[in-house]
Amino acid sequence: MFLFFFVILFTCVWIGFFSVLPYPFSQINVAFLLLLSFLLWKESGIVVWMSFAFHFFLELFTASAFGIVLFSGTMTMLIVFWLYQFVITNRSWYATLFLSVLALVVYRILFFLLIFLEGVWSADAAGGVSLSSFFPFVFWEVGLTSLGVVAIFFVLNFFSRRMSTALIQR
Amino acid sequence: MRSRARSLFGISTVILTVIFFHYFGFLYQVEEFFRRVIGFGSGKIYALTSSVESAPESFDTVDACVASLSNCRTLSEQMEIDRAAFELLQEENVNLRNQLHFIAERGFITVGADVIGKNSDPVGNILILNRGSNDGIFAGAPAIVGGGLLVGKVVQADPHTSLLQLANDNRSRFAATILNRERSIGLVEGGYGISVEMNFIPQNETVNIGDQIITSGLETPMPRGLIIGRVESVEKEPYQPFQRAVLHPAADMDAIAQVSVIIGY
Repeated sequence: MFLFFFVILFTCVWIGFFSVLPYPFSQINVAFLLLLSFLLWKESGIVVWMSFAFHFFLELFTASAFGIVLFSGTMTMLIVFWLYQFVITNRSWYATLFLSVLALVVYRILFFLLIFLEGVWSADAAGGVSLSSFFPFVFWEVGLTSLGVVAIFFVLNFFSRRMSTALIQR
Repeated sequence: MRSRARSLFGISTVILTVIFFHYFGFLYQVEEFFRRVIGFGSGKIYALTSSVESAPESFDTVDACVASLSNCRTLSEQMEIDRAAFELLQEENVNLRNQLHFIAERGFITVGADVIGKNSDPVGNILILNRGSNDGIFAGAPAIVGGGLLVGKVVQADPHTSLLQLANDNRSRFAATILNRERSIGLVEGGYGISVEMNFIPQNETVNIGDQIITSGLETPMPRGLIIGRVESVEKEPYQPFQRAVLHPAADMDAIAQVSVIIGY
């Protein structure tokens, strides 16, 4: 229940605060910033359901077809959770950075793929969207969010031994 | 491996069920509840942010700052001259209207709405408003600020909230007229949240920097005469059938706290 309110609170903060920051800071993806930090801290699969709730709430304030943000966000977190469990298990800043960059790239690939399909399906103007024009936005989103995740990693590492550089104990 | 497949199947099923329920309206009450809760929360945060934010402009050099100040002074003086001319013209205009009954005063029916948040996804530049279809707002309705400065149009109207697509959104399109000698007609399109351009301006028509651009009224429900902006630069290639103008929007898209949505005219 606490996590549910946490997700609602940060959805409000994202929409009401982060999105109105000057460019490029408005591109920070608060959902992935928090979800990846939570994953590093708790290492729990509940992060996938948090991602589901986060992206469901965001979907309510998005003009694109319902389901695009929800599907791409939740599926990305599921993939990232598996990667964290079985592949990128090293607790280091560079592994965190890699995981964060990978998460956002996968998210945007899924997102733009679905946006493209939406354009084809609905014959809407979105189908004519030039992907190359979005590269600067995605670049800033990936860069700033990943830096944020690494910064949170260092903060958590400073205050707790849970984040010490070691393999995950299973 | 099997547990991973089971997780993937379970989550996919939940997502598809939610999408299915959404499109068939089964989640209507739940979605409205969360829209109101999150809208209320983000509205409070947005209001707080707007009151603190001063939108500073940064300069790389002192010379750039001095040049900008000098430019501001020149513009200010020009505005004072324009204002005096405008007041004279306004008086003249009122007299003419009264004498000739040539044009009836246009009365817009508007709904005032507060901005409660922003969605700055790469494919959209959307403001979230605290009024929706219950207040008469509908998809396609134009929104203005100040004295008729167009900021965008509503793309989605829910009962208590609505989504306003800003003029600089990359999916935004308006039929527009340039106030030049030929009254050129074209299409104003947003440029990924950072620019506004007017396309399909006939090659043989003269477009000058500083020309004002207004809505042409050729599309419904957009009335004629809403101010979009001014021409900042013109791109004209001899081999192209049309020319293109980059606009400076009349409204500051980054500092919008309230808008008026036109629901009738």
